[in-house]
Amino acid sequence: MSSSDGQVLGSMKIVDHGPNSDRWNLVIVGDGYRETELTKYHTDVENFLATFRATAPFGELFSGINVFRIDVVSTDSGADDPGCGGGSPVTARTLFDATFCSPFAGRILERLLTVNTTLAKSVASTHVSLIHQILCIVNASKRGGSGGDIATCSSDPAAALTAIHEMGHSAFGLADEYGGDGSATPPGEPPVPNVTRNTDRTSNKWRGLISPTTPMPSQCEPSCTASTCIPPATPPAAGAVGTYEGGFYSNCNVYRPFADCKMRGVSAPFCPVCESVIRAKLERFVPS
Amino acid sequence: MMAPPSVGAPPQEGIHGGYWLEVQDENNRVLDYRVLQFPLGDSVEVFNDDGTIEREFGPATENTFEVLVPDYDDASNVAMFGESLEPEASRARRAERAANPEQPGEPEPPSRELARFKLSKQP
Repeated sequence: MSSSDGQVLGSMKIVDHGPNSDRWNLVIVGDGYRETELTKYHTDVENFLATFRATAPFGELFSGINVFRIDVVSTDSGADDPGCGGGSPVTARTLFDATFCSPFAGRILERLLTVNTTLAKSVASTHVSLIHQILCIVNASKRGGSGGDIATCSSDPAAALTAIHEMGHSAFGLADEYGGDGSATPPGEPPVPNVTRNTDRTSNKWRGLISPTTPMPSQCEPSCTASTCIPPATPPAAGAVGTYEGGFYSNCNVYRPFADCKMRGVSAPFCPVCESVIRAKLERFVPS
Repeated sequence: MMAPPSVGAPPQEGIHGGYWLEVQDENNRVLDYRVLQFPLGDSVEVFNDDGTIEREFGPATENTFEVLVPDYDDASNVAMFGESLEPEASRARRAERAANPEQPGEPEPPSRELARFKLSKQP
């Protein structure tokens, strides 16, 4: 990046529900938009917000949220794409250096779309005070994104779901609910609100949402051969909160609250437990 | 600026795994806490076209993170709890145990205090 790769034109509070000191403040920046594409950027921001509001429970809590849009223009349109997934390499001069095929631990990951987060945070904090979450939307039709301090997604409509999943981590402290071989699962009880090793209905951390008629554990993971999970005699009712084996990078002996959730697969809605956590985090920002 | 609340019971040393920060008073009573999801910068998520997600893990990297906690008058310390600071070695041991369930060996200890910082009031 250099100053010739782009510039910041200004910022606008596009959702104003009150003073920043009293609300949860989301800041959106863009990358890879030329000045002639600012209208598209504004549309992409509106499209993201439409997806965000349609994702429960954000719609019902929206009066507690402010949204700022920072208009950033880049020299070139799009993002760097070295072509690791096939196709010709593309280089785009953009202010935040958005790049597909970002490397991680010696591997190149095609849909890992990253930006210069230090610069993006600096730009955001220069224009907006009291920020709770920053999102960077990159002008690229290819699906991609990443998490961390800044949620990043491309302008592909499906990528907005990725960004909301990442905000589940960074803004609301939710854990991943997909499984794995268990090597990355911490020992002991997970300190997060939406996965557990505890299937006891009297002490489980989301016991308030479990019906007395729901079996515990509610579902064992069939692919797991080293599990202590005892399959229930009858399956849980559809849509029942319980303990479903598989989550937090382990297929065995770790449980999630629901069959599916946005923290397990981005296309699903948040499960009732994750919804309740988000609600508990945001309720104090909603005006009475 | 208002800090969102932490949700759920505070994690406890020796029982819980993972990483978290505690804001404590001068008697080390917990005033507030924040779970740190990926403080070592040792993983990224990969999003597949079918909507499924995988997490790729690697070595710990030099990393910074920001934590927003409420401003308590009687806050005295911030303590950080966590597991090993060498996550690759821990993952390798767990993978080996998973591959040899008949010889699981000693269970890994949950998280312990890793660092403690004294707080001082800004003038």
